[in-house]
Amino acid sequence: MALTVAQLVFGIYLLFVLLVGVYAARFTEHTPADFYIADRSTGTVVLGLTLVATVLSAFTVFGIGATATGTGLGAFSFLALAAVFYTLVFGTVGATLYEIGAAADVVTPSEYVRERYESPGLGVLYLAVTGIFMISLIAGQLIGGGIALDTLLGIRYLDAILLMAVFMAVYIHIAGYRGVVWSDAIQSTVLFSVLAGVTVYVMFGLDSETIASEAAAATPGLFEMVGPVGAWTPLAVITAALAFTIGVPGYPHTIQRYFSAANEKIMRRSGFLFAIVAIPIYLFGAVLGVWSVGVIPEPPNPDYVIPLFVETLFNPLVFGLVMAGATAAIMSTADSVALTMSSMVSRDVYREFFAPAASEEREVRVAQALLLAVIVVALGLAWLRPAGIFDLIAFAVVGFATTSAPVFLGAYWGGGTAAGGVASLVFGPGITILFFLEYIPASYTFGMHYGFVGVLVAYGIFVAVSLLTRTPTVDARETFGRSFW
Amino acid sequence: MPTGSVGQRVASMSPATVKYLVAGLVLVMFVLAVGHLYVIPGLTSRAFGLPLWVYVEVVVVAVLLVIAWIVVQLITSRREAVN
Repeated sequence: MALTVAQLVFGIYLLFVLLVGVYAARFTEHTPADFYIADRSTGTVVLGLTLVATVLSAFTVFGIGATATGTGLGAFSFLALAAVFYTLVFGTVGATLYEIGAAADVVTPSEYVRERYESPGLGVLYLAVTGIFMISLIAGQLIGGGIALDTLLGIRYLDAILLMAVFMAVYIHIAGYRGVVWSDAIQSTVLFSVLAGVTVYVMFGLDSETIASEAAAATPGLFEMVGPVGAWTPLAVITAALAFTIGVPGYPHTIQRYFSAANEKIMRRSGFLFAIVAIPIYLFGAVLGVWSVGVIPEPPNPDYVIPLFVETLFNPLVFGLVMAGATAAIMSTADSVALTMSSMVSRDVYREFFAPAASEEREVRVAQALLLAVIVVALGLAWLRPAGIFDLIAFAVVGFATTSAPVFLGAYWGGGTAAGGVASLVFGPGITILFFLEYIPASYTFGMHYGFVGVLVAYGIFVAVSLLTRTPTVDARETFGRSFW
Repeated sequence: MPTGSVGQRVASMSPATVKYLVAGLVLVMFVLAVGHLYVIPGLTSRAFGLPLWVYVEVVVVAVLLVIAWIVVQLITSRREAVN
C-alpha cells in the first residue's frame, strides 16, 4: 500500500523523536536521580518547553478546537488566565519544591508526601489516587491519538495506539527523563510552529474575515466572549482558571519537573517561558476552532475540527505536519505521565516496602519494567475505550487538582498532618468524581466549575482535619517545609 | 536611600512592606483578570477574522504576566534576603 504524503510526514516525525531518545540515552545513567529527573540538570529552555509539552495534550489540539466550535472563543480566556496564574505557582511553590527536593534528595512526588508527613501509607494513597488519574490521562491521550490517526490519516485505530505506545516505550525505556524532556522540547516547538504557521497564514494569507463571517452566520454568538450557549460567563471563566491553576501545577508529572530544575532561578524562569509559549498555542487552538465553523459547518466529527480545517485548506504536507504536532502533544503528555508513575511505584512501593536494600540500578530496572506495565495497562484501557477521550482527560485534569493540597500546603504550612492528607485525598477526588458522574447535580456547583468545587473541598478538608490531628515531628516539618516569605 | 539591584532594594524593605506590596499586586492582578471579563465583551467588531476583545485580552494577559513576574521577583528577593 502506498503511503500518502501526510502519512510519510508523520512517520518521519515519529522516527525523528525516536532518534532523539536514542541520542539522549548516551547521556543517561541508571540511577534514580538521573533516570527520573536527569540528575537535576534541566535548564530553562528545556524545562520551560517540557512543561509546555506536558501540560498541553490531546485536549489542546483537539479539545480546544472542539470546545471553541461549540462554546466560542471564551475557552481562550480561561486557559490564558490560568496560564498566567500557573507562573505564580511555578515561581513560588515550584521553586520551593525544587529547593526541598535538592536539599533532601527527593525525586518523586509520592516520596515527598511520604517523607513530609512521615507516613508511608499516605505516600501510597497519594500514588494510588493520582495513579487512577494518570492511567486515565495516558489512556485518554492514546484514544485521542488513535481515533485521530484512524480518521484522518487512515492508520487503523489499533495500529495507531500500538505505534504511539511502542515508540514512547522505547525512548523512555532507554533514555528516561532526559529522553522525555528532550523529545518534549522538540514536540512543543513543533506544536507551536505548526499552529502558529497555520493561524498566521489563515489570518493574513486567506480571507479570514469571510471565513469568520460565515462562521458567525452558521453559529450566532460564536465570536462573543460568553459564546453561543452562554458557557463563558465571567464566573465560569475565573473559577475554571482557578481550578486549573491548582490542577495543572499539581500534576505529579509537573511536580517531578520541579525536582529536575538545575536551580531555583531556572525553575522560575521556565515557568514564565511556559506561559509565553503556551498562551499563544491556546489562542491558535481556539481561533482555528471557531474559524473551522466557517469552512466546515457540519464536521463529520467535531472533535477533530482543527485537522479537518487544515486538511480542507492546506496541502497534504501541512496536514501531515499538523498531525505530527497533534501526535507530539499526545505523546509528550503520555510519556511524562508514564515515567512519573513508574518511578513512583518503583521508588515508593517496591523499594519502600519490598526491597529497601535494592541497589539504585535495580530500582531503575524495576522502574523500566513498570513503565512497560503502565503503558500496557493504558493500552488495554485505550483498546477497550471505556469513555471518550475528552471525558477521560477532563476527569484526570480536575482530579489532579484535588490531590495537590498535601503537597502545596505541606510545603509551607507546618500544621498539615497525615490524617488531613488522607481526608483530602479521599473526599476531594471523591466529590469531583461524583460531580463528573453526575451523581451530584450540576446545580450544586452554583455556577462554578465543578473541579473548583472539588478543590475547595480538598483544601478545606485538609486544613480542617489537620487542625484536629497531630502534626509530624519538627524535623520532618523543617526538612520538607519552607517559609513562604 | 537603598541603591543597587532590585534584590538589594527589596532586601532593604521591611518584611511588612514587601508583603503589602505583593498582596497589592496580586489584588491588582485579580481585579484586572476578573474586571476585564466584564468590560471587554462589548468589543465585538472584527479585524483579521477575530473580534477586538481578543486583541484587548491578549494585551491584558501580557500585562498580567508582567505583574506576575514582579510578584515572583519580590517574593524571591525577600526569601533570599531572609536566608
